[in-house]
Parts: sequence; C-alpha cells; structure tokens
Amino acid sequence: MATETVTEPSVNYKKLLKASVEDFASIADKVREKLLPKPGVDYTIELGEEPPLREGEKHIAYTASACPECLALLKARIFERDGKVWIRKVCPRHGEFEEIYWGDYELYMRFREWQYDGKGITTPHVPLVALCPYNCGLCPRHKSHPALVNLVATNRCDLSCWYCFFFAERAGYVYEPTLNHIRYMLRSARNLRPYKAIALQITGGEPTLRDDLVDIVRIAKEEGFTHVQVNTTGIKLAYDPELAVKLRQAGTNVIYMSFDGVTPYTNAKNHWEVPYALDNLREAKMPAVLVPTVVKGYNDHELWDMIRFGLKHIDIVRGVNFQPVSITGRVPKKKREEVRITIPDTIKKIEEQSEGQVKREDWYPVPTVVPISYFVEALTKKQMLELTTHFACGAATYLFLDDGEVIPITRFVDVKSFMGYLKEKAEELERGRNKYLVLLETTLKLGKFVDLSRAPRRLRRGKRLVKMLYNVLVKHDYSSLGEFHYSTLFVGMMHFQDLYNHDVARVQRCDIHYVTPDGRLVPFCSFNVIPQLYRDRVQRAYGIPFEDWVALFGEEKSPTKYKYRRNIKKLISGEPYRRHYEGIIDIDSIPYEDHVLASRRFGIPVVE
Amino acid sequence: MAKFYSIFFYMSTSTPRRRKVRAESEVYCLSGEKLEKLSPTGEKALTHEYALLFDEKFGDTLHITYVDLISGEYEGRVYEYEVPPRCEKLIEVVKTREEEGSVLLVYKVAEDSVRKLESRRILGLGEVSAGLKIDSEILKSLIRH
Repeated sequence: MATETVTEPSVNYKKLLKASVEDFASIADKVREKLLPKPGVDYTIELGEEPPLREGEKHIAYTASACPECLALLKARIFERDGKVWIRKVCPRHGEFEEIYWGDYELYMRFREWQYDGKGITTPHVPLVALCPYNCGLCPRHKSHPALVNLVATNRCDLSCWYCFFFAERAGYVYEPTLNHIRYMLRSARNLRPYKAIALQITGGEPTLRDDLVDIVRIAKEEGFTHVQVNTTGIKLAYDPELAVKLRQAGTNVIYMSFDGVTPYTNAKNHWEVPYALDNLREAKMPAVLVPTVVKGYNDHELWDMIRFGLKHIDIVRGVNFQPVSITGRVPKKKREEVRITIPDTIKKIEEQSEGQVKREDWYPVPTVVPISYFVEALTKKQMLELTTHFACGAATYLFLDDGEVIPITRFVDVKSFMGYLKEKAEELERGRNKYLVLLETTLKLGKFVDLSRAPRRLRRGKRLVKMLYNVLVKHDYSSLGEFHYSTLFVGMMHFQDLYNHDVARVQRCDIHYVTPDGRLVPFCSFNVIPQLYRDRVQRAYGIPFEDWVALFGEEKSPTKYKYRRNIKKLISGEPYRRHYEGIIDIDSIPYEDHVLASRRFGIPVVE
Repeated sequence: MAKFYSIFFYMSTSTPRRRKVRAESEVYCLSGEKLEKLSPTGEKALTHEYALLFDEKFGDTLHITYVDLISGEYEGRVYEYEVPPRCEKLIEVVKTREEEGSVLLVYKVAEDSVRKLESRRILGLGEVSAGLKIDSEILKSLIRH
C-alpha cells in the first residue's frame, strides 16, 4: 500500500442544511469523483499471484478478492476440501488468507445450476475507471439491477451495541440527510435503465430516531418506490403505537425488524420489546419480517425456535430472513472459526432442529425465480425485476402452516421442472412463437407441476394454487399473491460478505444497493465490507462533526436524551411478553438477574 | 501516433455460470466516408494489466468481466494498432461465438488518445450504417472480409 496521504473530501454541512434538491445534484457532481477509491492510495492491484492448490483439494474456480489487511486486489481460488467450499488468496505483503466459503460442497454445486446473469444497467452513475470493487456507483460492468435500495436515514442510534462502530458517537460525526437531500438521493437511485428500482429500505443507525421518518416514507412513495420497508430494532415502535399507524398510513409496506433469538441470552438487543412492537404493528395492520443475524455458538441453536416464533405470529410476521454473520474488522483465523457460519450450515441446523420438517432440499438460491421474470418479460415485452444475484448470496423457501403442520412449498410444487418449463417457454416466445399458443399450453400444463394432494388444504380447494399461478403468469394479476402469503412464512437467508470470504464475482452481481449522499448506488458488500472507501468516506464527507451537531440541534437531539434505557421488570411483567413467548421458551425459568445481565453485557443499561 | 488495443479471447467457465465464449475483433479506421481495415502492429498475452481494458470493452456489452474470464479456462491476446493520423474514428467490431450478434465499439481519435464514444450489441448492419452514415454494403463487404 502506498503511504501517500490524501485529504479526505468533505462538504460544508452548513450549505447542506439549506440546500434544495437541485443544489444537492450540483454538490454531488463536484464531490463524487473525489470520493471514489484511489489506486495506489486506497488499494493496489496484485492479481499476478496464483493461490496454491494443496493435496486433497479440488479446484472449483478462480475469482478476485481484496486483501483483508491492505485491500490489494488479489487473485483468489475457490476449492473443495472435506466436503466444504473454501476460498484462498495470497497477498504479497500480508501472506495467505484461507476462509470457509460455503459449508457444503454438494449444495454449492446444486445451487450453482441456478445461476442467471442480469442484463446490467445502461445508465451507470459512475464511469468505468477502475477494477471491481473499486469503482462502485454503479459502474457500467455491474450485472444486476437493484432489487432493493437502502437509504441510510441517520447514523444515530439509541443503542450502543458493543460490536458496532457505525453509530454517531463512535464515528465522531452525525450523518443525517435533510428531506431535500433524501429526495435527491431517491431520484438518483431511480434514475436507472432498463429497470428502475421500486423497493426501498430505510435504515440507519436507527431510523425511528428521526422525527420526520413518516415524511421520508411519503417522499419515497412520491418518488416511485412502491415497496418501502423500515429496518429497525422496533424499540421505538414498542412504545409508540401511533408511529406504527403513521408509518403504515404513509405507505410503509413492512417493518424489517432485528430479532437475533428467542431468549434474552441470544437477543439482548430487543428480546423484551419485540412482543410490544408486534402488538403495535398488529394494530396498525403493518406486517413484519424478523431478521436474525446468525453467529455460530451464540444463537445458532435457536434457528428453528425463531422460525417457530414467526409461525406462532404468522398473522403479522411475513418472514424470517437469517443473515449469517459478516465478520467486520481484522479478526484472527481462530476467532473467525469460532463464530463463522455459512448458509449451508444454517440450513443444516434448521433441518436438525426442526427434525426434518424443513430439509436441505427445501431451499433454493435467490436466482431460481428468474425464469418467472423471463416468461413475463417475453409475454409483455416489459423489463421485469430479475433477481440475478450470485447463487451463493442467498437461499429461500416458503413454509405453509396447515392445521399446525409445517409444509414447505417444495413438497407440493416441483420447482425445478416448473422453472425449467417457464424458461423454455420464454425462449420460444423470444424466438417469435405465437404468444396465445404458448399461453394456452402453459395454462394446460400448470397443474402438472403441482401435487395438490400434498398441498395445504386451503390451496387444494377448487385448485386454488393452480388458479393463483394462472393469475400471476397468464393474467399478470398479482393480487392473488396476497392469498398465497396468507398463513405463509417466507424463510430466507442472505449472507453478506466480509473481507475474508470476499468474492468479486458476488459483488458484480449484487442486487442490494445503498444510495449514497452523492447519488451513487453502491453494492451492499462494497458499502459495508470496505467501509473506509465507501460508507464511512461518503457519510463523513456529508456529516456534521458530533459536537457541532449537539450545538446546532440542542440537547434534545444529543445521545443523553435518545439513548435507550430498559425497564426489564415492567416489560417482562406485561401480558404481551408472556403471550408472545409462551410455547416458545420457558419464560419462568429465566431469573430476573439473567435478564438484567444479558442487557447490560450487550451495552443497554437497565433501569428499575 | 495514438495507439489502440483490441482483445481476442476464448473462455469456458462454470462458476458462477456456465459460459463458453469466443470473441475476436476487427478494427476499422473511419476518415470521411472511407472505411479501412487496420492490421495490428504488435501482439501480447492477455494478462491482468489489461483487466480494465477488458472490462471497458466487454463489461457492458457482452456482460463479461475480467473476473469472469479468469474464473475458468481461457486464452487471450492483446493486439496493438498504430492509429493513422487520418482516422477520425475507429470502429471495432467484436465478433462473438456464443449467441447471435456482434458488438460494435466506436472510438473518437484525438491527437494521441483514443476515447470510447459508444458501445452496443448489433444484430444487423442497418443501424450501424445509418448511425455512421456509411453505405451498409461497404460495411458488409469489410466485415465479411
């Protein structure tokens, strides 16, 4: 790494506070280039060194990957050993790095069959000036359009989790774009061809700390985002039923709520507040998706319990989306091995813990559904959302609850044949075959992919499931999907990368992006995996030094006012707490002292 | 004299996706309404030093990046051209063998540099001849050549 020192770019925050939407565009145009990673300063290219292959190892593929120490771009080898998939790279300065990539070679090979690549974007926000991943914004070579755009509404947080370096006090600045700024960012995020993003996640920090969060949702809707979700711990929602109602009325589609386990030991972040938040969401008729970060040895013994919790509250919980931990910062190999868990490991544990109710075969990679997009595109000649992310990024299944029995969708839908058929028909349409003939054939064939005798009862009646597929594929009537979602739990996984398992082939296919204050769209695994070049650099440039923030906005917006203090006694004695966890955990077996200790260890003070 | 580089490659990959692609280029000099095919003056192995050039040419057209290329088996050569001062534009036609169609890349030549103007996939020469105001028969004969 070169030692040249470069002044980090910054924007005069006083200008930002008063700027119009148009002003933000011109400010961004001036600063964007300075914010891009600089070769020789921020990173070097060292693709010449071939990582070795040792005895007992089977080569799978090469890729590129960043050095966890100096960010040099290295050639990396993906290989199989002992039934698992590994990644190895050698930095000329920092030596060899080896990391588990996927915990199951067989599943890796099955998932690989489902890879589809996107059509890319024809309106890049940055010119192609560097190799991936040092050119993010999106650049012209990016392969997938955004499926979900993340907007960081603030880096303030009411918690101070011990592992987090992101929140304002630790970062030393407050990043909180004004409403005009947000409108500019959202316009920029939507300025895309051939497919405009329609799904937005408002995240933080803790976005509910913003008094104008409802306005942000409204702006997002005005700017064309049809799906808006808020990513939160739910703590504020637990205490503020009005907020849930207002967010829903403004157009929020779903609350994406952190949920790391069913006990205080595994989920000290919001174990006590989740029941109250869910009740308030019920009142507001706002669905929730539970989002557990999975850490080996910490909460991986509660995976099925978390799904059971979701199923117990299926009236309001639409999904559980597991996120195997991404290891941030420099962590020694031994320590990494203690906490590292991959998608197949998580899948295997769910199979064990559910005693086979959800099996390994029930999971499919995200791009599995791409043939549906191809088919509808070929019929309508309109660009559809294509989930062309890398096959190793995520997995999903749907669970149906049928009189207490859990039925994964794969038990009654032949996913492989169905998707294969749609792909074949899409290709026929592309070749110019008469669309009415294809539609007729498809209609007649739909029933062949469904085994109604094994489907949940409500989908069996009057061949509801086949009719639903017909409505979606043939009539493009998506309203019937609402029925599909009733009593259905989406269970997904998304393994965000870190510098140890970093694979540039995944970055190039990423479809979850962050819109930055200068209007770029940065893939999740660049934004958060190389924060010094993306997240932190751009947010610091547009941030307000912490002391200035307090001076500007007063004590009311200082951490002493908004940091959360938990009254555990009150929370565990409430009826919603018992009602939500009953049948999932033995509530009375947890001593009060354990509750308090768990919260304090995590960094959340307890008051009585 | 400005330099220009074209790339020949063949790749066969399976991770993350199966692809077998062969691509070779022809480079034409456009001056006025005259097109003339250029011959390379040098040839080198395609190494990572040309990774960015590779991405510039094929990242947004064939949706193939250097990382895709090296992921599996591949061969690659880089051809160097000396651009005659009379050239106003360079046209690079990349013929691919994977699916139908070619890629057309157009560059503007200034003193000592060559700047990419546009890139697109083409199925027929009609759109190209219209865009460049060159008789499509001339283009056809050159490209067939």
